Amino acid sequence: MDQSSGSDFDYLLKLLLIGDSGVGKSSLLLSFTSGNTIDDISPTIGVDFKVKYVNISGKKLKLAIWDTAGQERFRTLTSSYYRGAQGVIMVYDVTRRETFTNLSDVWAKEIDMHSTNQDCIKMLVGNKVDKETDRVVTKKEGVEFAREYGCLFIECSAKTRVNVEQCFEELVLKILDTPSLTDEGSTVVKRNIFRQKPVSDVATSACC
Amino acid sequence: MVESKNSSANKTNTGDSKTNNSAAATVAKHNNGDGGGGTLSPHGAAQLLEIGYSANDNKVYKSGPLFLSSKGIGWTSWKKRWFVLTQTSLVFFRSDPNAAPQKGCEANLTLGGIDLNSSGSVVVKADKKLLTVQFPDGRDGRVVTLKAETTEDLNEWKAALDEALANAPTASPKVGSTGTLKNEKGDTADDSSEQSKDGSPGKPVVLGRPILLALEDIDGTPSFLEKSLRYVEDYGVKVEGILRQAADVEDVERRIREYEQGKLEFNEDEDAHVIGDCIKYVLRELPSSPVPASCCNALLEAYRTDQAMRVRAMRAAICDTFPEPNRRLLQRILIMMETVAENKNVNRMSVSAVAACMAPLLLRPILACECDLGSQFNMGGDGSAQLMQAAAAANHAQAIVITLLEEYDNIFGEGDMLSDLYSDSEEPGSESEELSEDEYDDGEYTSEDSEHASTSSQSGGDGDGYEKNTKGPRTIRSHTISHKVTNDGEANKKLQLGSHARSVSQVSDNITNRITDHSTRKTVEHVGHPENDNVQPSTDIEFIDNIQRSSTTADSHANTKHITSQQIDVARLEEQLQKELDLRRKLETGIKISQQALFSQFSTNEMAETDVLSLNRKLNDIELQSSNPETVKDDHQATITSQESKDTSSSKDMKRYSTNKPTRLNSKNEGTNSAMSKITNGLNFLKERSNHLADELQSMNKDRVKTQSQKDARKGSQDEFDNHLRDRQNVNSTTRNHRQIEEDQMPSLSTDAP
Repeated sequence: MDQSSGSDFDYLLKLLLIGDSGVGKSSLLLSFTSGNTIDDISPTIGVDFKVKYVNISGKKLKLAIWDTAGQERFRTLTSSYYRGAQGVIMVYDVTRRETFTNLSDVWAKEIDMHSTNQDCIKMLVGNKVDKETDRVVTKKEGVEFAREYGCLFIECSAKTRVNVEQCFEELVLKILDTPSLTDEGSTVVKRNIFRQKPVSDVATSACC
Repeated sequence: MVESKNSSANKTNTGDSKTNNSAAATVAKHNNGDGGGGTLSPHGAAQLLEIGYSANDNKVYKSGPLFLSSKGIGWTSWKKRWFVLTQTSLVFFRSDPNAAPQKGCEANLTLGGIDLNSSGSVVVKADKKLLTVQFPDGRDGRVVTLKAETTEDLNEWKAALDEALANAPTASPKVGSTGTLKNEKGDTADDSSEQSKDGSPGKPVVLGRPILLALEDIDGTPSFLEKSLRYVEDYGVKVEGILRQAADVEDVERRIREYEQGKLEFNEDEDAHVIGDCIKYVLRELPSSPVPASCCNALLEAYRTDQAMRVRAMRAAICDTFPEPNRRLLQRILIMMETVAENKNVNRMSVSAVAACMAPLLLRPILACECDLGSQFNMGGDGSAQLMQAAAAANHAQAIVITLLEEYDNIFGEGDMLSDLYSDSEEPGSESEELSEDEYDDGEYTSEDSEHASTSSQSGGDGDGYEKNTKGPRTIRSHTISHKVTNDGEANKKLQLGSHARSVSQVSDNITNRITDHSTRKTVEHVGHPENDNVQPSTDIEFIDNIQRSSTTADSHANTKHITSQQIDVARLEEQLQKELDLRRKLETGIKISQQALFSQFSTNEMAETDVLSLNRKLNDIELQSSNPETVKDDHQATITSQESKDTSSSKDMKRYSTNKPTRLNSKNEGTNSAMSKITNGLNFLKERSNHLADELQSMNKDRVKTQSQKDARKGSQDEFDNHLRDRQNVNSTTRNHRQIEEDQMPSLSTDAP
């Protein structure tokens, strides 16, 4: 809500944050939207969302970023949550391997199942790089997973704000590059649950 | 019983929830859609409550096959299901659970069911062999239509149902729904859950156990869950983020498999996160919610009452509605959670964080949006309402669990649970907390209060349950249910200085209770009220104290007479008060209806969705904050300050009057009559206030209808009004902030609309 000049934007983009609980989704969101970093955030319960206006490549954008509880996958919630999202940010904690493996075991499946946008851009984010000494998931592993899954990749730290802006920027740029996501009326693509193949034309771009 | 026999073969594979998802989503959608205009569940389709296994310790009245209707538009199909009727529930299975279970492979789980209560009735259409069970209490029209195979069968069922309903628990005090609805899971869901993995018979079963056997096996040995809980208490509490941070799902499944294959004990070196997740996994996979839907509703209802009443209401709700096994399980888990929260410095898991992590598992029906959270979300059947409802539900659930944790002793503590039962019927859904203590000056009473504290001894009587605030900072307490209530309570009370709101009804309640108490056991010295108690209530209590003290000292005979007559008077006043309350409630209902009308006009689109969600979150925040000790004045109140100014002045008069009295009384050591007159005055005053408020509400309503635009109304009604009505004492600067934000977002609302 930096500029509350309501209608003054070219695109409204819906972005989602998903991942295991405790990986720093809310911190990442807060870090991005407010510029503040808070050391202790209590677990998100239910859903939360924040709006941020940004200017990227000459376009005024209104980002509605949704944050959900990683704790419990809210069964009745998921389809609404994913509906119409143009970008999904999958967050893991580089100091906890299970959060990384659960992305492929659990979360990637969730996206495939619920996402309604055929071309929805996915982004893998390894959070907490400030704890370099505790790191257990290497950057290379992240890159590989991203390549395999056909998504963007970045490592960042919500705490030190390293790469936080870039993370969202990167994603938004990709969305703007994908005409089907920004064309009027295409935001809600007909639901296709059984879509097997990840969007192949989304190249991996590691940027750190 | 039925279930437990069968459970050895139960091994569910509900980890794959995909099919369930869609089924559940459909249900929610359906409900939302119906809720829109205030008309509820127009068709009598079999909408069934997900059963608690609460029936475990129940007598089975009848079991056998019946046909369950599923209705569409213009068609009805009948599915044959095996029904089991007990005193508290009517449950159904795919087939007879007592029939020899297919060895180890196919679980015959409960597909659904309905909680029974005594308000239910059975209607029979003999020609069509139809049985209709209906509950007048349900706003949602809890109606189940079943078809019998033969007429004899029909009559047998009718008789059995009548008997069961007659013995069923009394209806929850709430006027709304005692239970919420849950459709039978779609057939696909059944299939997926029944295609269970290789649950080899004879081995310990971890998942899908009935609630009754959640904590211990039939032979009394601790279950996997119990062992996991102990492990977390012993070793997990020092681990950062315990219960929050997820473990690798495969590790969790592996650990459970290992247990089933005989690795029955936990080693010290196990990953605490895995064990923590095992707990969550087991809870998630319980065949029914640890807290059944009807109990969730009762808790929600209790939670909505005024702070001062809340703990007691929740205690009553638990006494009233919880089946024993469910209560035990809940208590056990709360104790574990508390142990975790006590080590907050090490594990960084505060009470609210633990509650956030566990609430979705404990209060499953709330999270599944099966519970009635009030009408504010009935905006249409699309996903946005669903989402908002889910968010609100999650917040409610968390808040409830926080209260359960913080007030554990008072809610579950000793002091026979049954003795509190009488209390819940008095003010069902009381919204009488209009009395805002902000207008009073707490300071004025300090000296007097301390005087009382010195003269009256503190005894942890039955009043303690509700003397305490629900959300004060909590003092650490041992896990065992202890008798520390008194000390603990005292400490807590001191922490909550000046934050105590007490409802009109409770005051009168108190009076009656105490007077009655007194007349029955005169020698008992009565509970000294908390020093920080709010002014108005405390004056009232003082009267009683005076009555009691004077009577215990000397002329108890004369006083008894006085008291009897006073009792009558109080009863009369109470009655009047009740009328006032009823009147106000009517007004509120009127306002709600007008709100609803406005809501239904509101078209939802993407942005509206998000905006409204944020509003609701704020609303919830506010609600949460309202229970914090630092309640700040509702800025809405500022808008009506002018209206209230005369009120305030009158209240000041009142105060002066009442502050003077006690001294005189004490010196005379007799003045029960004066005390009586003070009670009368107090009650009159409260009535006056009540009237005022009713007027205010009326005028506000009028203004709104006349002048405000649709959006303003939405804003006003959602934000100001609900808060105002619900917790007048509450709310704060955040409201202001929120309103600003909201206004910021308003323009975008209009421009986004297609």
